Amino acid sequence: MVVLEAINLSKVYGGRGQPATRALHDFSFTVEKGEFVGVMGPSGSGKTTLLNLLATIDTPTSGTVRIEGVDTAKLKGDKLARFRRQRLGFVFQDYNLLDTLTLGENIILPLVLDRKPGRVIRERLNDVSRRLGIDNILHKYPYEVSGGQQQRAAAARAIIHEPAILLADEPTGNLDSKSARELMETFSVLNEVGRVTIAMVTHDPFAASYCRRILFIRDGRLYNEIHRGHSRQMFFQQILDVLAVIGGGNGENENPPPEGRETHPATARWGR
Amino acid sequence: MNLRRLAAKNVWQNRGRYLAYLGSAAFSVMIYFLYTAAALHPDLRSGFAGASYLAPALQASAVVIAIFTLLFLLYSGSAFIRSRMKEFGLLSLLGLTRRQLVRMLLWENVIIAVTAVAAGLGLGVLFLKLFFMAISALLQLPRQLPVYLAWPVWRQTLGVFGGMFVFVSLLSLRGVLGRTVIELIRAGRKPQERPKFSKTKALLGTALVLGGYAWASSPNPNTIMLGVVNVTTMVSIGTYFVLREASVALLQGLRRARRLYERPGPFLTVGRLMFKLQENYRVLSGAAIMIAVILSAMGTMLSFYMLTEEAVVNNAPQAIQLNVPEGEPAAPHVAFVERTLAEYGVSGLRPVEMRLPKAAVENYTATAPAAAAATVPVTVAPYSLYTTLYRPAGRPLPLAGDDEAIRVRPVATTGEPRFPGAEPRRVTIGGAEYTLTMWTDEAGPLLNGLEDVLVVSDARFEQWVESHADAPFRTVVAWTGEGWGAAGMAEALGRLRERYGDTGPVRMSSTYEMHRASIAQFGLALFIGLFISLVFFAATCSLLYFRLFTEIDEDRRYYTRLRQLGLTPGELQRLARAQALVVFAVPFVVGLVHSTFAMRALSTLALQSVLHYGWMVAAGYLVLYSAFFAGTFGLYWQALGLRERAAAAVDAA
Repeated sequence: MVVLEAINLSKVYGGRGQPATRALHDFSFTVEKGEFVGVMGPSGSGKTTLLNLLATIDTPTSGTVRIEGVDTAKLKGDKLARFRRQRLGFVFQDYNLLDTLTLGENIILPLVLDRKPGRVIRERLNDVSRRLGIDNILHKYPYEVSGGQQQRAAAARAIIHEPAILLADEPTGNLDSKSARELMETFSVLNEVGRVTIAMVTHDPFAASYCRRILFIRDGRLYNEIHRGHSRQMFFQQILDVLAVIGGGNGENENPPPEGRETHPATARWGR
Repeated sequence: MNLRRLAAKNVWQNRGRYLAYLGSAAFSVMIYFLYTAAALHPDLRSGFAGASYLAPALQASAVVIAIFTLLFLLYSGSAFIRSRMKEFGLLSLLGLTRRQLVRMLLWENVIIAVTAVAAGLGLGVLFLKLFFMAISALLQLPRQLPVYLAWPVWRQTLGVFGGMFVFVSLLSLRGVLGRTVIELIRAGRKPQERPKFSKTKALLGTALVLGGYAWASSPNPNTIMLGVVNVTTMVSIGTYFVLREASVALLQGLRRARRLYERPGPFLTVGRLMFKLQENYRVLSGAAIMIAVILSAMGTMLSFYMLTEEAVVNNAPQAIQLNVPEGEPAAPHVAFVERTLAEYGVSGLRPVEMRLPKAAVENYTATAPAAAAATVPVTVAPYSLYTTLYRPAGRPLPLAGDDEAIRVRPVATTGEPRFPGAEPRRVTIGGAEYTLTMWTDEAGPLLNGLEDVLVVSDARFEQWVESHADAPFRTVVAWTGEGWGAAGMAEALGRLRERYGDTGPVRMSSTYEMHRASIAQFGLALFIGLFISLVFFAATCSLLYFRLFTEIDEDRRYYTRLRQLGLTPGELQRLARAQALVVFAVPFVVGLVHSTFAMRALSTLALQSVLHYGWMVAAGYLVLYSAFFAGTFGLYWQALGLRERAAAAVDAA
């Protein structure tokens, strides 16, 4: 079953006298239910534009996005916002937790917004927080816990309402290597055991190696697509190989860190 | 781009925030300028009643305004610098030397100060004529005050505010220079503090506020007079403690009520308010106290004004009254007054001519039995006159028979008749002595003037007039009725005064003139008070405006996040409005409760309830305040710019 369908997406920025930039060019792909798809590409390749279009935060210049068969361009204003909060889950690079709510409250926010009964809220919170291993810190505020814990709370918030798809934008971008590994392992478990459909934009090859399939974008077009076999290590090597070709000399991935990286991911991020 | 240009650009970029700051600074400059111009006006030093205290009063209010402005500038200046610490850090990081930073900041301050002072002085000059016209009208000066705008006025205003701005900018420089680059950059990231409830502070604050309330509620006027300063201090300090603790406790309680809490509005608002109130409780309690001061001060002045008006009308119930000396015929005077009234179109008054004998009543005061032997002169009037002459307060008392009398006291005490009980008293008239059972009516005099009137039955009156024709008599003509302030009255009285001056044999008194005289005194107090209240109002409002705009960057992040999570634009706006509204409503509600107790205390002092005047002032204030909130929120919502920014903010994230 197809959860997400992008057909001939194009996005042109600028115009009105300014030079137009084509961020995305006739881009098409589909995500099946239960998939874990990664989107990779060098800076400026159109990754974030693509994710914004999928997230319905931005509108395409041409082309269609269908989520569970619903054409998101046909939704406007309140309907669009409601669709976003009921059918989509987001994980952002900077967690996007609300500082004024505890982790537990942040997690149940989507359910509260939908006026779900307290019993349901409690059950889901117990379930989700246990799965993400944060059930003992629910009463803490975001600034009282580590980045990894914050990101796991954000992931819990993104799946508590059982969305059609979880969209993640550089989820490991602000995390240290240990937290990044833990988060990606959690994502894997959510995907394999919980049957959560995930689409993740990243330019961290290590994080990407947890995906089942990776789309590479370059200059707004689909450049390559690879599937994971049995070994994650081999998949990681495959990713590095593609990046080495695609890299285009922007320096981002010229020296890919070895498995079990010692490099802090933030150091690889200046080009962003 | 040199530093001066950079400074100008900074001011322009931050104009939304500077607007309130500039506006209230300019407003204060204007008011100060006007007051100083009046205080230094040579024509206001003598020549009318109250001249000796006018200049000091104006000067004192100018000082209050100046002190208040200084506090406001100090607060907003430091908050403003704090909100821009990160920017200064960045500039330092990019290589701006300390010297250059100082010069940039000084230029910024110069631009702000010059704009504020120039705008204030400009407005001051613009309104000066109007201000002097208002003062002339209020003081009932014979001719309008000429505009006075000499050098000392400029010098004083410029000196005071120039000094203030220099002081404030030096102080703000200290805050920047005392920090390292790293500290500057990090200052923007304020450490969030978990909402905490302090039992000690809550108890102390509650005790202080409740203690103040209890003191103000005392039924004893002396106790209240002793407490004016103490209660104000207690309640102010108490507010400071209790506002934060009470709101944290309340919101935490709300958080535990899951059914109530876990709905979209409360869920998002409660947690956020806890942080906002915790961070802003100083500003909010300051605003609450200011609002309490404004409401109480205005309520007090309005009460005095209204009570004075009431008292004046009570104590001079007859619209026009002529006292004609014995032996002079009254008819020509009656005709003249009637003609004049008709000429100026005054109608609705009924002339009553009366010839009343004088008598003496054995004095009685419960507290001074020794004086019982003394007697009090009274004017005797028949009961029919008592019931038909216009009196604004109090129903006429009943009279049971010819052996009873009512003594109408010349000064209204409570506005309502009191019944100390009837007692037999001796009355002396024309050398004869009678004993009558006497009631007392303290609702206000029957005739203008300061003499008791003894009301007896019509039969007894006839009998006395006949049998004591040798007793002294007075002839009084009263134009009685409600229309003391009718159109044309002022002109008619002006004409009458030309004939019945202050010294002639025929004496005239009128409600209208008495009223004018007392308004002239209270009007000035009201006027000064109104202007000070306006300054307070402007400061309170701009304090809150400022608060709202200082946090706008953080708010924008917050609402953008919520938008990304799928809140609809309508939900976002409702949420933003609710959260901003609380910041505005909390000080008002607290201030209103405080001022209600102040008005209660005033009621005790005034011996009658003045609470309704307090409510009137509060209602008026609420209208202005709501309008200000609506405008401010409109600007704020626009500045948040959520509709357009949502997509861009995600790109930036």
